[in-house]
Amino acid sequence: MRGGKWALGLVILLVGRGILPQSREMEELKLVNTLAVDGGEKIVVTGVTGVRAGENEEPEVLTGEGESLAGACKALRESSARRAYLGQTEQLLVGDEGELMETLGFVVEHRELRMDTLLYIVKGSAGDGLAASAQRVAGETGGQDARGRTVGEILPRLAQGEYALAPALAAGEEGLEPAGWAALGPEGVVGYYEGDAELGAGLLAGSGQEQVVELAGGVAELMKVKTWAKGGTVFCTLTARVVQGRPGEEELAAWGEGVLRAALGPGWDCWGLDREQGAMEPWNWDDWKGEPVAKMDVKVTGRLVGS
Amino acid sequence: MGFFERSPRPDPPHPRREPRLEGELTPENLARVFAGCVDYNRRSVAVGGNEALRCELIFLAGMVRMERVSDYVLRPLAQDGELGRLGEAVAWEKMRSGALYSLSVTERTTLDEAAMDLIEGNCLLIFPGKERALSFNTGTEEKRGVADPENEVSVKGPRDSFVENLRTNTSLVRRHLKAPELKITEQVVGRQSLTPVDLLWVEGIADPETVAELEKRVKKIDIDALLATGNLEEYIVDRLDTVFPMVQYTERPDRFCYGLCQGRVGVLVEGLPLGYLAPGVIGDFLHAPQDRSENWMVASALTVLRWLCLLVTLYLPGVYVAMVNFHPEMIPTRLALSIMAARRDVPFSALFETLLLLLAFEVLQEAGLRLPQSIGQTVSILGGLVVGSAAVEARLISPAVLVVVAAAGIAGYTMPSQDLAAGLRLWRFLLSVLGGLAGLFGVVVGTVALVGHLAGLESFGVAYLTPFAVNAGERVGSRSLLRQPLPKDKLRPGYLNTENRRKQG
Repeated sequence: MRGGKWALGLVILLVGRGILPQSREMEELKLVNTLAVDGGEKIVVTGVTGVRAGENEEPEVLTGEGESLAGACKALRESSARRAYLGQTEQLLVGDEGELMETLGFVVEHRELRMDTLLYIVKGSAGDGLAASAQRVAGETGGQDARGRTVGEILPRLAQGEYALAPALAAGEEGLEPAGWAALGPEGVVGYYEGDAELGAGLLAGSGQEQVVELAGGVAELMKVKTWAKGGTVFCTLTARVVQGRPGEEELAAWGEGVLRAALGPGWDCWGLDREQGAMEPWNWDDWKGEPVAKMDVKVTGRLVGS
Repeated sequence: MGFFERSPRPDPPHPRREPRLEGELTPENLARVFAGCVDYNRRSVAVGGNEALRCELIFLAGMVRMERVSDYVLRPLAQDGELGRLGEAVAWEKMRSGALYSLSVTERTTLDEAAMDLIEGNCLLIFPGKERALSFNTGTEEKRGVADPENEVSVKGPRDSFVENLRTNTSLVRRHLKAPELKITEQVVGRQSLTPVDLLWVEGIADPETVAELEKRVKKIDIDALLATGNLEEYIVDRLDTVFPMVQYTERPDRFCYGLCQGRVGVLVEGLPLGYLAPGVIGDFLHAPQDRSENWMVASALTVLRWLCLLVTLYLPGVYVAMVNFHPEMIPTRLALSIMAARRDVPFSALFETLLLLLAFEVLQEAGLRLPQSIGQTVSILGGLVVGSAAVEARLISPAVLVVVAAAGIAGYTMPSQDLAAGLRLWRFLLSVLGGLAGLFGVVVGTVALVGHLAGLESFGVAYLTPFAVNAGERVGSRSLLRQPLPKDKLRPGYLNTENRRKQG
């Protein structure tokens, strides 16, 4: 047991000298569910606590302001009688004027924040939108959000100078509401996919299932979406279930082609299409690296079942 | 000064008196030695009815079997007229060479030997005035019958177990291992108990150095009485500053014999219904006796499960305290919410609560062991279910910590060796304290200390961390961790340094 005595002695010494962090009881913490970050002259962070099912606490909106993100978070923690804890933050909302890369870097370096936090881009002020929808933010954008992209997924792409896709939110009548996709670049938010481009971006991101498509001949619901890129062409296979009327497969393919072209139009490769083409033809890797997606051809095959 | 260190004052001398009993071997001196002993019996017998030729028959009642003394010694002694007609010297030689019926007869010339023979259950025959005695083996053979093992239950295998009688135990071993290469040597330990201790090994397989070392260690034991397992274990192990077992024990002869065949050296002690096997390394304590009776894949899976349980029983409370107090971000959100909700009304800190429950678990276990089986079960049910749920309802403890401690405790019960489980339980306390003081850093420091401690241990020259350690350049690897199909397991463990490594064709 000599080793045990040494270990205990060492730890007591370090704890006594205050070198190790102090313990805190979990029940004394206030778990922040969603954290909103806004830039400007000063960085403002807004956190919502007590909105999760089973938390048995009233929702509370906490705000902190500081010169840096760390300072703002410190101010946020001090704004509550009980310590606001960021370690269980599930959603990170960044205003479109917020410092995106600084925020993501903060997530990486902060001891509490986690890489599996879902990232959302808010058109306008993230803090105001969050405060307005504090009651329903967990239900609307909880960890089950199919569109969700985690910091751990987005950050590596941005760090390599590539584009990434993040769900966008905008203030609506009942608080924050989905508002397409945001295209993220190393310098921040570069633009948004809305309308047809939003649908196309969703298909390319593999999240188009259950999308209801209204065509001239009827209505179909997407069941399976498969996209891949090869030789300068984006291929897509859409399998849909007929819901109403008699839509044709050509109609479905034409719809798909339209939305995909709309998504590729702005030229931001948020899906890694160049990598995918390079992986298909590694001997032509350099040809595909950085290939502008706007020039890519699109070929869509539509399949209908239950017609 | 440490708790167990010697005081600066030197111990008084403890010389061994040789001979133990002084004086000539006479009935009077024997009577003096056993004065005050109600079981001491002495009877004067006229040899062959010749009153001129009388001898003294001496025995200890209860130690001899009366029928044997009466039928095989006393009857021919008193009724064989020819013996009475012979002279004393000739009659003595006749009796020694078979006139009296006994499997073994020995001539004793010292008071020490004679007294020891009486205690062993022999009866002595002495002619007055002659300083010698004939010692006849007439000892009683009362003993507990060979029964099912109680602590190492056999599902598919032999059901015999060691008993308190040493000769019965050696006979059980002989019945399993009929090879004449099985060697059994004996030493007597304990100044007052004079307990026979037998060393067993298979010549040509066991490492002679291990045999010699074990013999040396047993010979060095100089205690009053060898009555408990600790009286032997703590004297033959390499180090005492550890809670981990350094020799393996078993109450099953088949397991004992398997150890001998592997190249281990066995120890059997009169009065102890178990056998020891040396050396003992950590891998041995994770193997259950039935492993070789089960399908090799099942046995391997169960061994892996035991290793996982070892980690669970050792680390779960410590990691729980560390995560709750220092790293809540590691806990999944729903679980964190559940823990927070459960802990909200509990008045104690997570560390104190965990230690309290670990202690309660030990108390409950100890109470269950000390009481008769039927009451022990009641205590376990009352303590575990009723008091546990009442404590949760009264908000004295949180359900989460109850689950953690119970899971750790149950995982500990999967250890085939209770000695190992006891060692893990002590380290579990330490790791919980370290986790509560310094979070995962503390747990890691504790782990480093534990691994360092284990790496420093050796059992008869074999690294204790075998099969993870390298012995004399030979890695044991997974062959010891997972069981191979027996037809493919052709070699004895290399770390035992056996004289013959091949164990099957």
